[in-house]
Amino acid sequence: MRGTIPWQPATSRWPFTLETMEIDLEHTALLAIDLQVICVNPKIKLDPGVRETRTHAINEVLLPNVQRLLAWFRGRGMPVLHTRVGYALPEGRDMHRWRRMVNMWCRYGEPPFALLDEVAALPGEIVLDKNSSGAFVGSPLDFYLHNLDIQTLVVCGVATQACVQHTVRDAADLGYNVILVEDACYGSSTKVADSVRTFEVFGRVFGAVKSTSVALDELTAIERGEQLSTLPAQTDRMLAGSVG
Amino acid sequence: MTRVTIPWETSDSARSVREWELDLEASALLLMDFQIAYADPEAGMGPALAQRYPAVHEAYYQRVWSEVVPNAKRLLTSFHEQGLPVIFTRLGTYLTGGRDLPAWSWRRGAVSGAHTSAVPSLYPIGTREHALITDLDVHEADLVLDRPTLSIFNSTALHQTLLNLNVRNLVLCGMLAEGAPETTARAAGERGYSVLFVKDAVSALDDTVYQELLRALAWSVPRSTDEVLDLIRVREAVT
Repeated sequence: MRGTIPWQPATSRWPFTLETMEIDLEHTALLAIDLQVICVNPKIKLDPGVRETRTHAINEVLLPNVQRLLAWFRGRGMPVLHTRVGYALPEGRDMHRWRRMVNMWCRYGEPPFALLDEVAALPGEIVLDKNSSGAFVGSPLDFYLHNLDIQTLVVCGVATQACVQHTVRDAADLGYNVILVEDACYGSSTKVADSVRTFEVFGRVFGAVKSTSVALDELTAIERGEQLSTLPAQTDRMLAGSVG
Repeated sequence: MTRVTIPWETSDSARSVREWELDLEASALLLMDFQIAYADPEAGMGPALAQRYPAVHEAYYQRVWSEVVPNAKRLLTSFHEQGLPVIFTRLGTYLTGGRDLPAWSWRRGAVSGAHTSAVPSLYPIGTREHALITDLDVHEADLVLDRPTLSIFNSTALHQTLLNLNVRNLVLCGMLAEGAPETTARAAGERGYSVLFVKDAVSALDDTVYQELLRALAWSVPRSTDEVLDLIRVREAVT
């Protein structure tokens, strides 16, 4: 089942615009990044209000949308892969030298390292652990995707501006066609602008950015052999100020 | 060994790294994609920009030639004088039609002209657009690496080469900020390199977006050419 989904509008001000992206559902996988217990209760200090906002966004928006994606892929027997971030050795000695100095992560196997129950991996799903932000740097993700004959990745998870961004940049750069699912990602309650920027830059240079509903509608349309010809109204904020 | 420390993050409570220690002997200059395709106003993406977005065209190439290339030249001269490693990269494909990229990939579409509204972002080796601009002197001892990916780490053996050269710090400049320079800076930081992202030696199509990039960089720090040259002079004074 092959089809195309709209990507960047022809009116985009970016000179390298590609209007559509080709998707082959036989070669499409879902990648869920770092949806771990520690992402709800991070080690860093947060004001109670910020923590509450964060927990609400994760429980009420992020997790329900990830569950919809998981159900769609699992219902069709399509590959689902998960990553977890942390470190293998005491004091994080296996991390690179700067990462070692940032005390944000926990060791593989510790309780906060586990995937959240709501979106936990099922038997038969690949779970890769990494000691880096990007999954292509610190885990053998590329090896498994190659073996699974994957061409397209639908990506969700946390944190948008960090592990998600590093992973999807590399995925697209390596050639994968990527759909980054905006409302199935969560960034940071204190760095909202960084998440916004991540989606904008990714959408214009690297891959498609869609909501859960649009992504699933488009994938379902491809499954049914329907044509997706109309481009959604979309404006490109970038370059807007400098165009005469 | 010449060690200096430079400040890094101070405002973010989630990060505890306040400063980086740099061994200046372990520094290399990475000059990314100073190619005709991205620097010549009349070639590569130039004509399409001039036709569709004349104001962008004017501002982009004005800055490339008044600021970015001159600063890259200053860095290049300094690294050559100091005998520190210099690495040029070129973005493009080995095969015509992007046949060295997966057939099903958006990357292939960006090369093959399958999408008529797009300006090709990759040119094959051997074409005029693929060539480096001649304003930057490539010395015999400099490394020139070709690759079709934005991150230099995704399709070259640079990481292995840098390990062998004992390089831990990368001074990075190049063309089209949010593409190759940012992707490579992030990828280098993830591999434990200290990346000095030379903000006035990187070209960008939109300054507002570029300022956001400099603020949002991860595992690397933005520095001006003058600041980098001052650091390199510390080494010169000691050695």
